Amino acid sequence: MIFVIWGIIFVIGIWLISTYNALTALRLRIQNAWRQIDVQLKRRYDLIPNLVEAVKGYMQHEQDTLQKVIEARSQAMVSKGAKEAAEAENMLNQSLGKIFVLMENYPDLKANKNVLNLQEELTTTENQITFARQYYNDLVTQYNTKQQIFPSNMLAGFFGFKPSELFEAAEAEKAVPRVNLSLTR
Amino acid sequence: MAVFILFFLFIGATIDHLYFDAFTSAGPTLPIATIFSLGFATLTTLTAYYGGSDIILSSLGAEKLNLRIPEHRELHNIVTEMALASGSAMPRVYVIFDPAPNALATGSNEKNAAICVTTGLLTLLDREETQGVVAHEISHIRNEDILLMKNPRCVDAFS
Repeated sequence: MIFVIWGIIFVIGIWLISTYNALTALRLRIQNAWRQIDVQLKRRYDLIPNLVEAVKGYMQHEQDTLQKVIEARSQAMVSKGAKEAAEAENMLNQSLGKIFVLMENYPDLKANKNVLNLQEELTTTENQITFARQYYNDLVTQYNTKQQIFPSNMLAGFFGFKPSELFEAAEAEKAVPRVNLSLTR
Repeated sequence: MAVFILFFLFIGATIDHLYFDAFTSAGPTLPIATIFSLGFATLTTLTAYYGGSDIILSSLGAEKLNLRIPEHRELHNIVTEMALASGSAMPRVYVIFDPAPNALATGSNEKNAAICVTTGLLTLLDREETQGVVAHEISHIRNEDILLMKNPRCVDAFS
């Protein structure tokens, strides 16, 4: 009889240790994933001036648009708080998208290896930001689920694990982009 | 892998039984074919585990990426993206000069995995389509299919 009781205590002990460690590991991985997003964002800010510099000579008539990109970039870099940051990011995305569309009008630009290279780098960095956010959300969902399902919720409550926040797309980004197909010229 | 070794053990024992009468008093004292095939299977398994991906890659004529070439740079970026999305380590990336569109993943675990894509696939598919193919190959790595498929592939490479 005494062996059965010891056995139960042993099993519960093992479960406690493994669950606690799993939760802690997840929390640290979430922190790391968040830093990963910051690294990509920083890289994007570094690439934009290079691109603008490279296309400046070709796009003499689009100086306004280029100026807007530079302004939007510095806005996004200094913005504080989730809402302000989202708005600035949105501005930056729109003006960048405009440049990419305008670039189609300049055949010389499309033949420039340096510009093509920068464009590819910017594309991959933007994709990496998206995927890093998606991975971050996957981890957070895993973490929060573990904290709320029985029986690990008892342990999470006892040791004071807090649910993490999901990254959510800003309201402005959710709006369906307006596509204008009319031919102007 | 155990199945693989057992299979070769069975073949060896069958050859011994049919051709050398090894398990009767008239035959030779040692079941030579059994020992030989067991040794062969063990050797193959060990090589496959520790150096299999290199054997496979060199038998296919795979080459490392040259990041100065735009297409290779793009492929490298795509693999980085998909590794990030799946939360796994960045695999090594190779290309094969072959017009047929194809791709494969190999390695014994996530740490030393490699992804290989033909040049035909790079020219035929656009960026997003290539991304889908690379995602598929990464799922092979995550699912540990690569370990399972390596043994038979190495036998292929030997013969």
